[in-house]
Amino acid sequence: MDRNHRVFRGFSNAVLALVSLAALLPFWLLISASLTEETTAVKQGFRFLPQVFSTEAYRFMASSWVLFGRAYLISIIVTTLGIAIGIAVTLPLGYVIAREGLPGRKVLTFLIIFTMMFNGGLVATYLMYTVTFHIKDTLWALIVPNMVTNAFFVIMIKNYFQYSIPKELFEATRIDGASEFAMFTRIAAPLAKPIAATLALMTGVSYWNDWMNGLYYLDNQKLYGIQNLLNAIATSTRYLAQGAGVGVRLPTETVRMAAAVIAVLPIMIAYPFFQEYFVRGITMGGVKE
Amino acid sequence: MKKALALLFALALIGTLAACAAPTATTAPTSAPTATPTLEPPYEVVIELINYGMDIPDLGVIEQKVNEISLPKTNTTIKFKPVAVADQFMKLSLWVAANEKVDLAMTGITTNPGNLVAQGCLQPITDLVHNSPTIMSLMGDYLAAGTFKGEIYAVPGIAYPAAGMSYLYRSDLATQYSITVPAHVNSLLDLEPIFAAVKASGMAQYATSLGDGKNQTTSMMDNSFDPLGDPSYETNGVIMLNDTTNTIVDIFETQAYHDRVLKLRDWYNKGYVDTLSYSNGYSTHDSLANDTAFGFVAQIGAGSNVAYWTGSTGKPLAECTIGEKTISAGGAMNMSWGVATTSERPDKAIQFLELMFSDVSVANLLNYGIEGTHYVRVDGTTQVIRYPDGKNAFNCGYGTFINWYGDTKKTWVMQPLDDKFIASLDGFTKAGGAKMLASFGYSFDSTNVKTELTAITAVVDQYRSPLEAGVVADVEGQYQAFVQALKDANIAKVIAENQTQLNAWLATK
Amino acid sequence: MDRSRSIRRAWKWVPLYALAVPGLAYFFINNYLPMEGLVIAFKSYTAKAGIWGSPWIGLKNFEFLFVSKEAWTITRNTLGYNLAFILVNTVLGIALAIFLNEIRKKSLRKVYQTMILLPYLMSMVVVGYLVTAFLGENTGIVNGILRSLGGQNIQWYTTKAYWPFILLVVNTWRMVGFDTIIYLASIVGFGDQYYEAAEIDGATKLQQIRHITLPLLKPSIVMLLTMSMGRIFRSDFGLFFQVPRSNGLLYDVTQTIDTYVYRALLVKGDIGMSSAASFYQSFVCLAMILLFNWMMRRYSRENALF
Repeated sequence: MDRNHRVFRGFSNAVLALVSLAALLPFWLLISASLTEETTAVKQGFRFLPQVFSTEAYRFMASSWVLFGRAYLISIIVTTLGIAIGIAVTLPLGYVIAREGLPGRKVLTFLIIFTMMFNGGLVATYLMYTVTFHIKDTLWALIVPNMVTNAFFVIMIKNYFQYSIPKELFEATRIDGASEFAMFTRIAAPLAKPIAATLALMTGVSYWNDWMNGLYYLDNQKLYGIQNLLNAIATSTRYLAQGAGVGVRLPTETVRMAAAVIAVLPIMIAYPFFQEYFVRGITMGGVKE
Repeated sequence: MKKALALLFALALIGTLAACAAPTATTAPTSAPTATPTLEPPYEVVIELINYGMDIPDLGVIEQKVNEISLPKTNTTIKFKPVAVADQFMKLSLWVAANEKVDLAMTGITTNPGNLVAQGCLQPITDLVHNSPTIMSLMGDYLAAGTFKGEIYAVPGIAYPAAGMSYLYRSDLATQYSITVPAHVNSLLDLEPIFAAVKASGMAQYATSLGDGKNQTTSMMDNSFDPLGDPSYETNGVIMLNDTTNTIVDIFETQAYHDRVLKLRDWYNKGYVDTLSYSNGYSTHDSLANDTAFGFVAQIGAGSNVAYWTGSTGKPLAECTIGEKTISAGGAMNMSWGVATTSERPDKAIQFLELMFSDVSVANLLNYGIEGTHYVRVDGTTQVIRYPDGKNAFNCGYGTFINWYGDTKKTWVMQPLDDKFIASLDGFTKAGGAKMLASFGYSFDSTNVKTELTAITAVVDQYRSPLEAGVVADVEGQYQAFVQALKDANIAKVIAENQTQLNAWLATK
Repeated sequence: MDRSRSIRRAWKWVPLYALAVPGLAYFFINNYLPMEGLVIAFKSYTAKAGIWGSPWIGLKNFEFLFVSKEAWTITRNTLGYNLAFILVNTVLGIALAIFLNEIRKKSLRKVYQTMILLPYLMSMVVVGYLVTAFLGENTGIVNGILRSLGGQNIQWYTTKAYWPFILLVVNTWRMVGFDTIIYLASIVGFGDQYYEAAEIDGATKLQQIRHITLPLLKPSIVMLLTMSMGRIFRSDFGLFFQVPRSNGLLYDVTQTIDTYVYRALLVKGDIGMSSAASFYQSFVCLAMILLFNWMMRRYSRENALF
C-alpha cells in the first residue's frame, strides 16, 4: 500500500471518528438528562454527567410495568411481522419493474411513483380500512395501513437489481433456459441480500417508530405499542403534571427524556446484532470479493 | 308448563322494569310513546372516556357496577370508549365519519361544541334535555351556552362555570420576607410594586412567570372583555366590558393591549418575569413547581382554585384576585356533553346523562371507581376521599382524566380538595353573584369568513406569544407589524360579520 | 405459427406479473382505493354528509393558501430548505460512504456504521428535546460552555439568523446516515475488480473516486435525487415543528407549507382546507418529478426513472 492510500485511509478514519462522536454525544446527553433530578435539571440545565443523580423518572415508569411490558411485546411482534411482510412484498415487485423488456414496465413504475404524490387523505383511508376491511382494534391495524411498502422502497430495490447486479449473470441463466420465476428465486433473490438487509432495517425502524396507525386505528388502548404509549406520555405529561388530583407529582421534563431512552434503547440494542447480518449481507452481495 | 313459566317470568320482568322506570319514563317521551310499557332489550350507551392514553385496567369492572344501577333504572348499560386527551377532537371526527356508534361525547376539554356542530358531529337534543328535570334545574340558564341556531347541542357538565384571574404566590416566602400582597387588584399591572419588592428581596429568581406565551393567562387582560361565546376570541373580535355600545373590536388593536405588551417587555428587562419559560416551553406552573418564581397568574375556576394549584405545584399558595369573575359561554362549555350524530338512541343517551346527574352513586363510580379498591374515605370529612396508601391515579386501576361526572357538589372530592371546596362552589354560579356576560348564549357562525379566519389564526399564532412573553426586543415594531398583518388578513371583514350576527341576536333578545 | 409464438412469448412474462401481484395489490388498496378522498379538497366536507354527500364548492378551499402574505415565505422556505438538504446530504452521504468503504478493519467499520445511523433511529420529538438540551438559553450546554469561557449567553431560540444553519445541521445529523448506507450498499456492490485494475495503472485514490466510484454511483444518485424531487414541496414536519417549536419570532425562517397548514387549521380542524393544501402540494411535486424525469431522459436516458 502506497503513501497516498495510507493518507487517505487515515483521513477517512479521522473523519468517521469525528462523525461517530457527533452522532453519539446527543444520546449520551439524553441518558444523562433522564437520570438528572428534575428541579436541578430545570434550574441548571442538563450536563453530560447528572449534577444530582435521580432515578425518579424511571421509577415512575416502573410503577406501570404491565403497561410497558405489554407495549414492548406488541411493538416487537408488529415490527417482526412488518419486516417479513414488507420484504416479501417489496422485493419481487422491485425485481419485476427492473426487468428490461417487460411489457407495461414503464406504466407500472409510474403508477407506483404516483402514489408518492397523491393520497386520499386520512378520512378516506380511515373509512376504507375500518368500514370495508374492519381492521380496527386488531394487530393488523398496526401493520397494514401505509406501512407495508412504499414507492421509495420499491424504486430502491428496482435500482439495485438494475444497476448493481451484472446483467451477464441473468443472460447466462436465461440461455440455460431458466424460467423468469426461477431467475428470481435462484439468481436475483440470493444476490439481493445487501439491499434486503437495508430494506429490513428501514422497514423495521419505521415500524418501531410508528404511532400514527395506533392513533387512528386503535380505540382499545391495550393494543398500544411502545411508541403509542410514549406518545401518550409525551402529550399527557403537561395535563398530568397539572392534575392536582392524581396523587403523585410527576417529573415532567426528565420523564420525557426517560421515555425517549426507553423507546430508543431496544432498537439500539438490537441494531448491532442486526448490523452483523447487515455487514455480512453487504459483503456477500459483492459479486467478487 | 314451560310456556306458562316463561310468560310468568316475562310478566314479572315487565313489572319490575315498569316500576323502576316509572320516574324516568317521563324524561324520555320519545322512547315510550305508547301508554303500555313495552319490553325492549337494554340499550348500550357508548360513553367517550377521556384519559391519558394509558390503558385503564378496571374499565370493565366499573362498567359492570354502573350497569347494576342503570339497567333497572333506565334500561341502559354503558360501554366506555377511551380516548387520550390530546386526540379527543380528531378521534371523534373519525368515529363520526366512519359511522361508529358514540352516544355521549365529551364536548369540552380540548374541543368546543361550536366546532363540533360545524363539523356535523353532534345532533340537536333540545326536547330531550327539556324533558330531563335534573339537568334542567341544575343547568338552567347555562344551557344557552350549548345552544346553536336555536337548538341545544351540548349540555354543560359543571353547574359552577364562573372563572376569573388570580395571581397565586408563595405564602411562605411572602411571610418570611414580609411582602404584603393585596387580596384583590383590578389589573395585573397594579402588581408592579410587589414584583419590584420580590426582585429586591432576592428571595426567588423571578417575581412571576408569563409562561411560554401559549397559555392564555396574560392575554386574558384581567378578564376585561367579553369573548362573545367563542373560546378562540383572538380571531373573531371582542367587546370590552367598559364599552356599553356592544361594539366589537380587534383586541390586539386596543390601547390597553398595546400598553400591556410594552409593560410586559419592561418587566422582562427588569427581571421580574421568568425569561426561560418562553425558550424552554415551561408553563407558569413549571416555574413555580421548580422554585424559579415567586408566583404566577392563573385562571381560577370552580375546579382550579387555590387548593388545586397548591396540590399541583406542591407549594403553599395564597391568592390575589385580578379583575372580576365572569360567566362566559366558553367557561360553561369547558366540560360539556353532547350526543354524537352516530347515536342510535339519543333519548337513551340523555336518559343516562340525567341519571348521572341525579344518582350520585353512578357519578361517584364514574369519577373515582369503587370505594376500598380505588379510593378510601378521609376520616372527619363529609365528602373527601383519597387514594389508598401507596396508590395514585396511575396504579390504582381506575384513574381518568376528569372527575367531574354528575353534580360535583354531591359527589366525592379527591384530596387535596376538601370540604371547603364544596362550600366554595356556589361562588362560581350566577346565583352566587358571578357576573354573566351580556353575550351569553350568542354564538358566531363563521361559515362565510372561513378563509379569512384561517389566515388570521396563522397571524395570531406567529405574533402573539412572543409579545406576551416579553421576549421581543423591538416590541413597538413587532407590535405594529402584528396589527398590520391582522389588517392584511382582513380581520375587519370577520369583525363586521360578527357584529352583524350579534346585532341580529341582540334584536331577538 | 406466429400466433402461438407470440402467445408463448407473452406467457413467459406471466410468472413475473405474478411476482408483482402482492405489491401491486397493496398499492391498489392502500393508495389508489382511498383516492376518492381527493375530492374532499373541492367540497365543503362534514362528517355527517360523508365524502360524496358534502356539497361541491369549487376552489374555495384553496383560497386561504393564497390570500395571505405568508404564501411567498412558506414556498421559499419549503423549497429552499429541501434543496439545501438534498445537496448537503448527497455530497456528505457519498463522501462518508467512500470513507467507510476505505476502512478495512471490520470491527472498526462496524462501529462507524452503527454510530452514523444511530440518529436516524430517533424520533423527531426526541430530537426536539435534544436540541433544547443543547441550545436552551440558560439550561443549554452550549451556553453553559460559552459562559465558562467568559462569554455571554446566546439567545438561540429568539434569534432568526441562526436557524437556517441550526435546521441544516440537525437535518444532516439525523438523515445523513441514511444516505450513506444506501450509497455504501451500492459501492460495496461494485466489487473490487475495477479498483484493482486502476491500482495497477497507478491511479491515486482521488482519481479512482472521480473516474470509477462516482460514475458507478450515478444511478443511485439519480434515483435518490428523483425521489427527493418528488418530495420537494413537502417538508419534514417533525423537523420544522418540533425543533424550533411554535416560536413566532422564527416563523420567517422556520415556517414551511406543512407547519403553516397545521397551525392555521389546528383550531378549526377544517378537513376541506387541509385536503386542499395537500392536493396542491401533491400537484407541485408531481410537476417537479415529471420535469426532473424529462430532464434526465434528455441527459441520460437509461438513468431516467420511467
